[in-house]
Amino acid sequence: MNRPGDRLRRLAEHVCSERMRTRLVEPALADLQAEYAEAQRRGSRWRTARSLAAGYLAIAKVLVLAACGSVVAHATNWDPAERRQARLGVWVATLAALLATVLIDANSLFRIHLAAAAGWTPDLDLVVRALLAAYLVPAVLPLSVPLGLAVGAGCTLHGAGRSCKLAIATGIVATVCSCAVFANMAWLTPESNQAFRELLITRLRPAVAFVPRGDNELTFSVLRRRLAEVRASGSRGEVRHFDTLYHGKLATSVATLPVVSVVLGLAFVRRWTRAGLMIAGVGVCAGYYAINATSLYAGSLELVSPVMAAWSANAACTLAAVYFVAVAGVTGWPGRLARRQQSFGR
Amino acid sequence: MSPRRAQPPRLSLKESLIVELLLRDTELYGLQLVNASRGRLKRGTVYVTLGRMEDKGFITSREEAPPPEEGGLPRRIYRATPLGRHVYEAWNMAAAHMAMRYAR
Repeated sequence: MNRPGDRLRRLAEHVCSERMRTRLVEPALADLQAEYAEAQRRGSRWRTARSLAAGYLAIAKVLVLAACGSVVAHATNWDPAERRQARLGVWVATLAALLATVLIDANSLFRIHLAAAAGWTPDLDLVVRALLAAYLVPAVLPLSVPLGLAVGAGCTLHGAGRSCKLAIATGIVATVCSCAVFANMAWLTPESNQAFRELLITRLRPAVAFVPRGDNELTFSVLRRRLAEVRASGSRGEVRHFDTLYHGKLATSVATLPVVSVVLGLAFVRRWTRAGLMIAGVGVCAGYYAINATSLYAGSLELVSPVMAAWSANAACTLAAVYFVAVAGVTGWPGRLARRQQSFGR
Repeated sequence: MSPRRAQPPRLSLKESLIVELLLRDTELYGLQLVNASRGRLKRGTVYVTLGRMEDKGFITSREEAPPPEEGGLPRRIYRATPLGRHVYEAWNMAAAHMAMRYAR
């Protein structure tokens, strides 16, 4: 005779660990069967149905809670070597992102300094220069964060440090950073860009009372509204321009994830050294922005659609990451990874 | 640097309730604990809590074969351990002490 929960028990034998099965699933199933038998003895259909529904719901809850618990336990159970590797990766990523931010920031300020030195514009005092540098930081982050994380991922996942936990943690950090950069591009960058323009223009041309917002100083919602307006009344060129700008900003804001995914893929298919993977991280980031710039230029020449122009770099990186993962799968990556993890743990 | 102090065993509200019920009735099944708690324990979470308490050593369990005419899986029956009893009493004493101190 088939009792309620018998199939579930057979499934649990394949899916759950011994401990989880004997401590959580089987007691719940045994109680369900006992309650069901009791309800049947009493001959109440309603009671039987209720005991079945409540029992299955309880088992579903038990399974979900146990699964969450085991995932959390697995995710938080890092060995010292993995912790060391992750800590180093965080430091390297932070340093690389900081360095990139400072260098890109300094480059823009240096051009302002050159213009002042050549006598084209009045010289700016130190406080104004510091403020200009601070206003530029949010605009630089979509470049420096993917670069920093790509280098950090290369540093973390080289050689014997390629563990699934580190790869998953790197992926989660990349996703969080992508969201943060998106929020930065959506709300902070337009305001800081505008503040930069206002400060610079009012210092260079004191007569100017109002500085209108440029295209790079528009939030996503304003840009979408402008796009709808030009679609309704504007020229085809204007529509293309705003469409490319809108999608380009969206694509760039989430660049961190595809860039880091490529480095993750490379880490598992190539036996490169730490320095090699870090350089590869820089290369992948540079490649992303080269493809992005080229496709945006192609978009401006109407060779490709605005959506394709904006998203092609993200698509290329995602395809490359999928390819690496597929190659890793074909060449027996899980087995090799397990062996590496064992040797890494020793 | 001073050595880290050993953490005293902790008893959550649910765990305290389970130990209380087990001390009152000696041995209970998971479902009986849920029924005896009058809605304070949920059927979906009680087995996870019981498993955790078993790991901590507050309770122990054994399998009880079902009646031969019914068949089915053996039911797991739980009882409190001496450690569970001690921790429960210690937490109750601490709670009573705090209540007396702050009730003034």
